Amino acid sequence: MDDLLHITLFTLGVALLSTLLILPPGVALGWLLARRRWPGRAAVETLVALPLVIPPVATGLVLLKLFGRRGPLGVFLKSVLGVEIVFTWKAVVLATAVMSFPLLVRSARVAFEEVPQRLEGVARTLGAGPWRVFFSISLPLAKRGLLAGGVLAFARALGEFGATVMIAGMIPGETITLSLGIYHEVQLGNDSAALGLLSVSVALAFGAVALSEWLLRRKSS
Amino acid sequence: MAFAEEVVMNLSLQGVRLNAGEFALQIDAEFGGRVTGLFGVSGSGKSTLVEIIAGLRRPDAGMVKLGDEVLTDVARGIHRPPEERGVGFVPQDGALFPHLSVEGNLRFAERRIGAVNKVFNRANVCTLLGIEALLARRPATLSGGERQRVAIARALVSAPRLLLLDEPMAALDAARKAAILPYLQRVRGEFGVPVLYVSHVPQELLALCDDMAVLADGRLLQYGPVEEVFRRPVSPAVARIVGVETVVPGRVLGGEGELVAVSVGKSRLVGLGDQLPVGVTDVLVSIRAEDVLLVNTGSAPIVSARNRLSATVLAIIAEGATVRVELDCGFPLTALLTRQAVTELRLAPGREIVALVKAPSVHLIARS
Repeated sequence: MDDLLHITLFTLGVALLSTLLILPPGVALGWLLARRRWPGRAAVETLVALPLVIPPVATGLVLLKLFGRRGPLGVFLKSVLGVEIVFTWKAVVLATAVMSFPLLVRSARVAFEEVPQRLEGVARTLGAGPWRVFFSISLPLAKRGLLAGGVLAFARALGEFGATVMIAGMIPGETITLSLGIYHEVQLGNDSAALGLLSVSVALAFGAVALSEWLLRRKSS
Repeated sequence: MAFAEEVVMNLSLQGVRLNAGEFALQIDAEFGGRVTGLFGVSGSGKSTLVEIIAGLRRPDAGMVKLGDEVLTDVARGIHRPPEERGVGFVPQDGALFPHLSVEGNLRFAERRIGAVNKVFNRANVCTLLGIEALLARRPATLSGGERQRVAIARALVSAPRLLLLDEPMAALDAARKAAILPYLQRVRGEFGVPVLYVSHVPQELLALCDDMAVLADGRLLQYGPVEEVFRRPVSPAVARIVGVETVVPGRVLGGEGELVAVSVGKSRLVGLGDQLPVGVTDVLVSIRAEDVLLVNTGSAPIVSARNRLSATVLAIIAEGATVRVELDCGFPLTALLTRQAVTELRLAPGREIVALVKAPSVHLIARS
């Protein structure tokens, strides 16, 4: 029972942290893709969408090669910050963040594209600089779409498996989330424990959907 | 509250070029009126030109100056951002911010000036445009006319040095148009801000503007006092777009029912006054040239036309299939005839003739 509670809180914490981490860059990139033409735009767009298309396990392998002990980023983080990523809880956050980032960017981009450019232009003529226009016009008008994107990213993070298992492994008490736990318990033949984790997963999914519905309804009233 | 200093605009467009696909904008102009009309059919480039002046669009070449200040100079790489131009812009739909109340919309624009500006303060502007009661409302709950008044108020509280109104009445029905016109006339009278007023409705331009520019296919065809442009189009193209009209100031003498008598120069005309607000004395009288009939002085048939004016032919100008005849009948009047009619009437400069105009063709426009 303690294990169940621990895994549940860990999963929620990881999903929340990864969503909060990707929110600022995700919103910024969504805006840049919706409103600006810049060199390398197409390349960045493709790169960000990649985790949606290639198998999660493959994304996990790429992350492992980059952040592993001999990977370029792994070596860099170890020598500069003294931080090790792979096979720790940080790896779980990294994997879920990378996997849910494209969903957030896509939602943010659509949300900003739906804000009439005319309103932003008129706001400029009224004396507001680009930053003020972004924070008082674009952001509030895109809020619903951004919120929906955030919930989507959070839900994706809750269920992440493939990339996580590659880069974080299955270390009890250290990297096991609900989805990793279900697989782990079934492998060990503990079907009842797997069913417990399953019911928590289902409950969280219901909660996330209810939350997003409530947020959307509150905004529209 | 009247504020009379430095109200004329001094907007200069030098070699402004923009290739916009459907047309190529190419403008050289100096606009100097208090309220300048920008007239053109849709696709003539007027909205594009307005966006260039507001700084929302960059031209391919050319220079835009307001007074001594260079706003855009492509050759020198200067493009002042819209927020630094002090050019207020009200588009056709008003573009109110839907997530802010009316008051929130006004506050957004006020930031730039703070409380120092007495003329453009919120209370003044709200009173003038009659929107005090709307402050707590959301844009979605406003009528079209209210929305436009709020949009104009919002542009005014940002204390602009130039106000661009891009067809502010285009989305309104006739009744709402008639209701908003007096507010626009007040803006014209009370604030020391020059206005560039985009429209394709002659009546609006006559009611509001001093000067007007005629734009077609991205080019400026004519610029001058409104009455002058309507009376004497410089080319058949302008005449076709604008329509030839006699526009003269008149004075209301009195009415009988819906018919209103006005004195114009030494003559007296009868027109329909149902669109005229009560108590107006000074009006502009406009008569479209094709609504003027000419008959020989000798013949005196009983005709239905209420206005029968003795006239002298001043000039005859052929324009393609039609002929423009300029007359003096106590005031200058222009008639548009076919070549055949001119021949049959044996019209020539100096000839005496009788001009007939039906009362419904005598348009009376209130003028502040």
